[in-house]
Amino acid sequence: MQVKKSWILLAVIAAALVASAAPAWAQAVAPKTTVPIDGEYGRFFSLPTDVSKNGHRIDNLIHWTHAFMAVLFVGWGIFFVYCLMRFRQRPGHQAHYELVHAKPSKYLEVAVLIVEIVLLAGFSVPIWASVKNDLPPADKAFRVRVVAEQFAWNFHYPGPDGQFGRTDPKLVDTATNPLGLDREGDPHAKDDIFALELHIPVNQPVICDISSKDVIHSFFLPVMRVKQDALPGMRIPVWFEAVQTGTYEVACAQLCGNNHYSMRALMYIQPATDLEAWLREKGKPPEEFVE
Amino acid sequence: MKCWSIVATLVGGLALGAMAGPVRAEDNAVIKGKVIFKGDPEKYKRTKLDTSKDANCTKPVGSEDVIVDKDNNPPTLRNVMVSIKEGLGDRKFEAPKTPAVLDQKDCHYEPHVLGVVEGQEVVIRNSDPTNHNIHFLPKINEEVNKTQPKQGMEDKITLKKEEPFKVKCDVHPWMGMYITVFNHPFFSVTDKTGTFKIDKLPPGKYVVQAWHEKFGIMTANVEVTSGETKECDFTFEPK
Repeated sequence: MQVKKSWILLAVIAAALVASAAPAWAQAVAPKTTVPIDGEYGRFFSLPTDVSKNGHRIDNLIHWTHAFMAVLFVGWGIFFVYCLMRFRQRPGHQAHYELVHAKPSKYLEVAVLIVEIVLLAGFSVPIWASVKNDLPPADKAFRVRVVAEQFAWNFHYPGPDGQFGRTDPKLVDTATNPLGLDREGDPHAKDDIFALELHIPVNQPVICDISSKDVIHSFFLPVMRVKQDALPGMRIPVWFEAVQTGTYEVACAQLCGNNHYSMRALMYIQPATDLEAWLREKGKPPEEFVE
Repeated sequence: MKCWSIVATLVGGLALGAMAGPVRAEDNAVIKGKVIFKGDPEKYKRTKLDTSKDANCTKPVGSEDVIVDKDNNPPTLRNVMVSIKEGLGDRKFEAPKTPAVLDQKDCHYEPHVLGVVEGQEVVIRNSDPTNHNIHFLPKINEEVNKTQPKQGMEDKITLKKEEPFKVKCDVHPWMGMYITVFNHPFFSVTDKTGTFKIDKLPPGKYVVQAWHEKFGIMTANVEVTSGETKECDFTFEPK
């Protein structure tokens, strides 16, 4: 049975509309958290809220890329339809199947190439270099280690001494020591803080060192325009700076297993004083459990 | 030929029946005792675990890797699996008809240490109003990795090979427990009182093993005669 092309087209458009609504739907069905999340995470074709210093540069890049692609898409689309009509078979006219070698098409191809080179070399590479590669000075940045696992984000803060303690996979206990901190053997590890939430200061560069305990995950802060794969055996730094306080989402952007959807944490952007108070509180010995 | 094959089948069946047959009258010895903790119980206080990842986990959850019941005199250790390690020979034992139950309740596992017999059914239940994903991490038995998104859901698993292994929840990283599969029913897990009791034992010389997830394994040699009850205490002294 031959399906009409118009039906296929309709189905494609419907699928595209459903897909565009996916972020809003995902936000609605995401696991319940104790705290409401701030910001918008993409209604139809809009980008999520941006609360980072550099986010607008990534957004601009995305917008420019889309604008150029839209011009190309529409331009090629019009040309395609024109060719279909102009060279079609009709009474007294044979259809043309051979390529037409003409100078204008060469110029057009070169123009597209130049646009793509400009996008890559003129926009993407410089933005990537400054936003991703040029880490802020370590003494000015707030540093957190992020350890991914199926299916949670673990956050490791250095504590009052500012030094990260030694970790050892042999010491990992999923309930009591998820990071495998050597609290007995390394003095720097004694004051280290572990949390399932990311707390960072506002208006200060933050460096997150990303790693993974098991499979490949992807550390995704939509409101910071940060997305970095977490690879077992590697510690990859990413940096960003928040310009607004609030509570936002940390997601995993790499399908990492059957509970990938639940790999979500909260990011609290706080004034420095609130952050210090939280770190002090979190740094206290764990509360005793009484049956 | 036919006749011989029928006789052979009958004899074989009877022999198998005798091997895995019901408990014999003389199988009534008992080994019981206590698992004592020697050391500073304050060093092993239970702590409240961070369950903030799931707002449905409303009840506080305590660490379970070391539970010292310091009110007992002397202090005892909970969740120690005491079992017969050697001495049963080639005897086969039937798996109990009643299933072992592993419940996910208040975002932790009940029990924390579970013993089952080869071929015994294990019922995995989700009693919480949240999603759990039970993940068995065995080396010999088949891996189990099941999502139970709704409260009241149950799955039935049969473990076929003798082996101890860890179980975790893929949704709640603090949740963990241990299952040991035995080829006999002679095991017991210490509770709040720190005691264990292995009964209906055939008379014989045994190596009794006590296993704790943090403090490792201890063994003792015990000989029991029919109808006898022997006391056997273990003392774990962490360094």
